[in-house]
Amino acid sequence: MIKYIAKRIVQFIPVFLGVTLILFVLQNVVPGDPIKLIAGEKKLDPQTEISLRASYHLIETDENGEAILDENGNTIETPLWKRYIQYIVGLLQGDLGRSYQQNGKPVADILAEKYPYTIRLALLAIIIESIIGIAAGMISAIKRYSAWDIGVTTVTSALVAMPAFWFGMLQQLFWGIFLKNVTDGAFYLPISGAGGPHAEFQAWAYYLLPAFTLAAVSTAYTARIMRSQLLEVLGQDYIRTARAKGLSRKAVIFRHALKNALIPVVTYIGMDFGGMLAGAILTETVFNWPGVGFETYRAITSRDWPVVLGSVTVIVVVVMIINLVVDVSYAFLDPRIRFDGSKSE
Amino acid sequence: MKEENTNNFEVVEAGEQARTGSGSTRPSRTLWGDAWRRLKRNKLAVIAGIWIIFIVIVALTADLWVPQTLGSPTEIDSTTMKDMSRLPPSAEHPFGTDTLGRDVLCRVIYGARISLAVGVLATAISTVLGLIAGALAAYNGGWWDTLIMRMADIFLAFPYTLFVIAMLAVIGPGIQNVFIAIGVLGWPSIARVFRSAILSVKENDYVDAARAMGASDGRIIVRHIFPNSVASVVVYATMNIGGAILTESALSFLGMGVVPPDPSWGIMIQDGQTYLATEPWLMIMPGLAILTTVLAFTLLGDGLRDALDVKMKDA
Amino acid sequence: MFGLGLKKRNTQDLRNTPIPEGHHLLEVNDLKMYFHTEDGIVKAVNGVSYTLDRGETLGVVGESGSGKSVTSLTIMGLIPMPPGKVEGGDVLYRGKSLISMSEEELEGVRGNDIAMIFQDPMTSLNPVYTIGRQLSEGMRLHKGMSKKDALARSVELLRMVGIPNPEQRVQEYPHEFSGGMRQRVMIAMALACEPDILIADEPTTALDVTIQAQIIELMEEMQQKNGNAIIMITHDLGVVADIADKIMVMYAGSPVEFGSRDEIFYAPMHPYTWGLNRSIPEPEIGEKHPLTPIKGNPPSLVDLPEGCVFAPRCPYATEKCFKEVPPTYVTESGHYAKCHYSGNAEFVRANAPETSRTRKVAATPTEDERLKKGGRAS
Repeated sequence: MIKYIAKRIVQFIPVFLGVTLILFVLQNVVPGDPIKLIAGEKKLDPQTEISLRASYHLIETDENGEAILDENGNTIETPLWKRYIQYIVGLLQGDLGRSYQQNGKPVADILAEKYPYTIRLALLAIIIESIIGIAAGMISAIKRYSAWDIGVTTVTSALVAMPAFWFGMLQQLFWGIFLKNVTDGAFYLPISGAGGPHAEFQAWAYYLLPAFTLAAVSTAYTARIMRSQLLEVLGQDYIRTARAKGLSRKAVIFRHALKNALIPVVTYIGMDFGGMLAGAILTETVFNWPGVGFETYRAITSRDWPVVLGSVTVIVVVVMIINLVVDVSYAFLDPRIRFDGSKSE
Repeated sequence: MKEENTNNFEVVEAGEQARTGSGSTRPSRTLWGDAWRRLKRNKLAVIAGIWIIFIVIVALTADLWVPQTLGSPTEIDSTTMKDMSRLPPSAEHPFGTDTLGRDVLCRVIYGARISLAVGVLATAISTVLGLIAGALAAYNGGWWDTLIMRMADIFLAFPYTLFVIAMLAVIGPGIQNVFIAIGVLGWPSIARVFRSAILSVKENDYVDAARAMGASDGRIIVRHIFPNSVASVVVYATMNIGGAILTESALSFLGMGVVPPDPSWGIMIQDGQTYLATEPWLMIMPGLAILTTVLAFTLLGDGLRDALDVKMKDA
Repeated sequence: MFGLGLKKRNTQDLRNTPIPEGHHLLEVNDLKMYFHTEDGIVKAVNGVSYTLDRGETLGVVGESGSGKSVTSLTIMGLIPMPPGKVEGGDVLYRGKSLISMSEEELEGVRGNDIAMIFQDPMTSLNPVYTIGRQLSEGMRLHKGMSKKDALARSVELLRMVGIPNPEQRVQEYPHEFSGGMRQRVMIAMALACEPDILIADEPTTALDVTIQAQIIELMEEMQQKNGNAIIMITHDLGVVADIADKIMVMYAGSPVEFGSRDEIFYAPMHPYTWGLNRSIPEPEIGEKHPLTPIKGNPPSLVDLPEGCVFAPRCPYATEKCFKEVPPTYVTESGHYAKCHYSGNAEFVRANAPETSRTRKVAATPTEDERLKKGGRAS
């Protein structure tokens, strides 16, 4: 077991280095001088510019952080590979660099501020997804070809075919605007932001629409996977064996089919949770949600590269850790999985 | 004959006997002929196919009749703009007009061109890259396989939308960049599908036989492996078109895709967001266009999957 | 999971009720099971009849799609309906109709009074639960045993079917067992509640030849211990040669010949049975016995041929065979065949396989053996 986890971590290292390298190179091939991005419209005097470059490790510095000058009195640009190493070393110490904006605020601090919103939203969405998705898929499979089944298939097909942000706007339209008009302002839901001390609603109310929007597509997928898995499992020989033992249909489903069918579903939900923690850019944008997805979007559009690189790095690490946890729990759920990852017959 | 499925194994047997049993009385059919026959029986797939053909025809012929009846999708008539702004749907403007007085239906039709172009071209790029990578990995095995599949892992480790957005942020917005970004980043999934398809075909005896007879690697891939794994690629590519259309709309919605004034469904939704409370049709109409188009590609893909009997995970 | 559905059934064990006068342990009367599919009505079982008594072994032989498995699954009530539908006939177990039983009553019979072993032991066990749990289930359900008692009895059962180190094995998962061992587990599972009838559907087809004999032997041994009846379904006449008391040969959903083991092997009357006989390898007879396959394929069950169903493949078929449904020709002993020419002794003598007759001389059981078998069968 420990060996397996160790092996997965070792496999993770090249992927991690590859991902950060791609991002790092991308960031540095972007046309435009970072200092211009930092300064914006302001004109900098040469001395400030040099110290700014030094503080962002764009030029070589001595131990005191002072810029090293060459024989002509010019600053020496730090080579890309060296900056990448500096970045990785900093990363291992929890240093993600500083934002080009927001007064050079450390990226780690920015993310620490945004992540709680994203995590809470993701948790809520995953709960919605698990409960509704599994239940809907199960009933669909058990009552195959019933009106319920046709309804679930139709709704899930539509959900996966519409843009999530559009679905979110439809939610806003219905719960926030239509309902407000119809009930004459007596009942409606907040459609933007995450509340605050002087907000109109209780804090939890702000979570409802974004969470359901975030969960919508995933719930549809979960229901579809659950349905197809359960149907597949119900056609297996061992289900016939269980029936031949005299177990009732209900007992066969709950005692024999469910666990087998749930294994891939749990895997999907786990992976999906990783994706949600990655910050749902579109959902967070539609709802002005102060999470890490919205922050990443903001950083990308305003070319705040340290924030982009930092948040993507964190996202990749989180996703990979979650995938590892999912893999390990998969091994617990399915006794056939040996920890070398192969399925023995 | 394996009796695997309690539910209908005798039925399956009987079906196979019906197909093979009476020999010469039945016309011989190819894989594709058979698949076509089965596809035609799938009502949803047929409707989806008709819808796609309809959209394609409308999009291709738009220049011939749309400007004459609905006006230009991009140009703004500053003299009438004020009176024409955000009119509700009517006989003259079935989907209403937008803030700048342009006909929404007209923009939705021209938006279809962009969506279809992005869907098809991006998928074509992903498919070609994926086919090459998948073929190299599966056919050569060993180091090639490890290297290519590790690269695929790296690409897939990224949350996809984030990756595309990051790439567009670097190369800049615009329709060409949109299908390059979506296309280039889409290769790992196709590579995986094609790789596993090849690996399962490679196990077959006829490939060994071909090799024993001295066929070259290239010939084996083109003559034996490709035809037998192409079914899964066709199914995957069909479904991928829908996915690419969705991604394009998301990018344009975020302002990183198609550049205004070109009409993209994503941009139109974004424009409509401002008037959600007062003129909701501005965002509903383009959204419905996306929904029906993507749904059509998904249903057609499902139909092809069943017709071609391709095994695939439902995700 | 959630402990659902494992409370002791309150239905009575039918095997303790006496068989009513004039009835057998199991009677199948003109059973018809059709599947209603898009392509038409598949007549999977089309008029099957036989009787079975305690201690007897019935061999059901036929090709894939001959309806042999569907017949047994119908008896067990394991055919999903729809698409399946019983179109006629009945199955009586101890005089009680299984066809008209409620689902709940049937659940009390399944695995309890009538148990079944399936073809592929590799896929017939649930991969995510231990052997012990899967073995215990039936006993907890039908006998109301506690988890602990059922597990203890599972160990006993595993020992009985010859699995070494059962205390440890009971805690293991199916993938840790070989195919032969898994089939032993399946037998143990089927015998857990000491059933009246054991139905074995191609129990050895998926196994190595050496294991096959062991499994058959095990089933016979268990039968002698418990006195249960066995229905052995197989496509291989050779498999039932040693253990069956009676053999029913099925073709295209209905029996074409039925008789005692000796009659089927040494005095078969139907050309299809001859064909099956000719396709058993007989090393002792060697060159004199060419292995002849039966040409062609079974007919589509959707569109059965007019007249005799076997006629299109029968080397002796005449015009009459293609037009008229053959009558059932019955001998005094109850041996019957559905062929226009079974009654024609001259025809049978001239065309029945050489092997059957030579073998009869070499291997006819002595009168004593016959009596022994007959005695057990009554």
